[in-house]
Amino acid sequence: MNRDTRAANYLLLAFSAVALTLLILPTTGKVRQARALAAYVVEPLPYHGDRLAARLEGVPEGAARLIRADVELLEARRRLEEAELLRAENAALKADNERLSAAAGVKPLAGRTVRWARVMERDPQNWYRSVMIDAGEEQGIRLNAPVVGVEGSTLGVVGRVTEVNPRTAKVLLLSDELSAVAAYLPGQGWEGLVTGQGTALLAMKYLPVDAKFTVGDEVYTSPTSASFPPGLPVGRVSRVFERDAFLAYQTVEVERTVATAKLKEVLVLAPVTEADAAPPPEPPAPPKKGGAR
Amino acid sequence: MRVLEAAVLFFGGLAAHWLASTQLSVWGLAPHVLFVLTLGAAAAAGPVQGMCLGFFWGLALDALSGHVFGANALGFTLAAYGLGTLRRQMDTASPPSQAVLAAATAPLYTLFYGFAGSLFEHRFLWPGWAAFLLDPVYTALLAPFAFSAARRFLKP
Repeated sequence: MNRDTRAANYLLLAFSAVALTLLILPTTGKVRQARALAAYVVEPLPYHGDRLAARLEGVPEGAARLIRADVELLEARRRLEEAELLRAENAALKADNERLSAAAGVKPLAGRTVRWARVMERDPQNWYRSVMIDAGEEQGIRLNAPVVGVEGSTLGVVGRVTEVNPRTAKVLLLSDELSAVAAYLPGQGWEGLVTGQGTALLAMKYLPVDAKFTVGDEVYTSPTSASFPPGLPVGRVSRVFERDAFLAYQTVEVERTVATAKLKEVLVLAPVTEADAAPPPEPPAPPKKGGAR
Repeated sequence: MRVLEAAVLFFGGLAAHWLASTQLSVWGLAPHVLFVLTLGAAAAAGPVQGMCLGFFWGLALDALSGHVFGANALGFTLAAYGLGTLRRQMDTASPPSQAVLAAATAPLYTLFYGFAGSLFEHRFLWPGWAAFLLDPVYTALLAPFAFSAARRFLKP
């Protein structure tokens, strides 16, 4: 046997022994793991999105877990960046909203706890009396909480909570005959009591007999209101009644800012406190005469 | 065998394998480039050189395939030893005999790999009838070029 043949035989034995050892030892799984990790490090893009599960099929659990964790980490980082952008956008929108609300004279909600609720039921016997909303005690709704609605982009008084159940609440509408809210006309400053009439229109009573009113005058909640924050739009004067010689005051008819017949969602505010009631609203002039509630 | 030329052949073979299995693949069929290069190396420079290159080519292929790590290394080593030992008893210089040699041994190599799978992975690694029957033809067509490249780099 010459030298080359002997070398070939020894090499065959050595290589075969190494190869068989690799075959017998559980190296395949480790190689697969290393391969999967190397493939992911070299080109991570195919592992993102919907293709992750398909790409990890057959990959040993350890490597699959690492790759999945890294993909999730990158996804979480991406979402965090998006959240930061949203937060910045939200802050800008909030600033815009506050500025525009101040310009429009709608500033009743600052610092107030609010909760959106859907209108789920109306009283068919008394259409203008009350509505049921899908939020109750469990959602933080409290008795006597003021309820406002949105008409277009304007907030307006709807009523107040008169009954609280665990998951629902009854809202007594301002149009009900038992409802009343102290209000005033900012242009002239006269204050009166807006009451329901059981119809779509409201009546504003106890206005001075010598005061002059114009159809279209805006009516806002008064700082003296026990339930509502000051400066909320109630409606606008739609009709001025002829003066009654037997009465010491005059009455105007008020068309509501928020038509309750169209109401789908409402905003329930935390009940008004003395601190809320203290500062008068910015744009309208202060009332000249006191009123009820 | 000069080390640098052998290294060039080694890495060139890996690149050729990647090229053949990704760019030259037709209907999922691809030639056994590294196997036929191992045969070429054993025919050109003898069993020792053939086994050295074949073992590491096999390991590289095992790492890429993800199945029975070591089976390709063992198969290539055995093929290089067999052809390197018997090369003086057969014609390995003419292209037709190289093609016949590749066409005859490629199916044996496929079967060997399948059996290694059934022994160490408890399932026969069967590539499918199309690959089993047509890959050797593809490999045989490539054999003269592989033998020529091996002879060029592994001058005795």
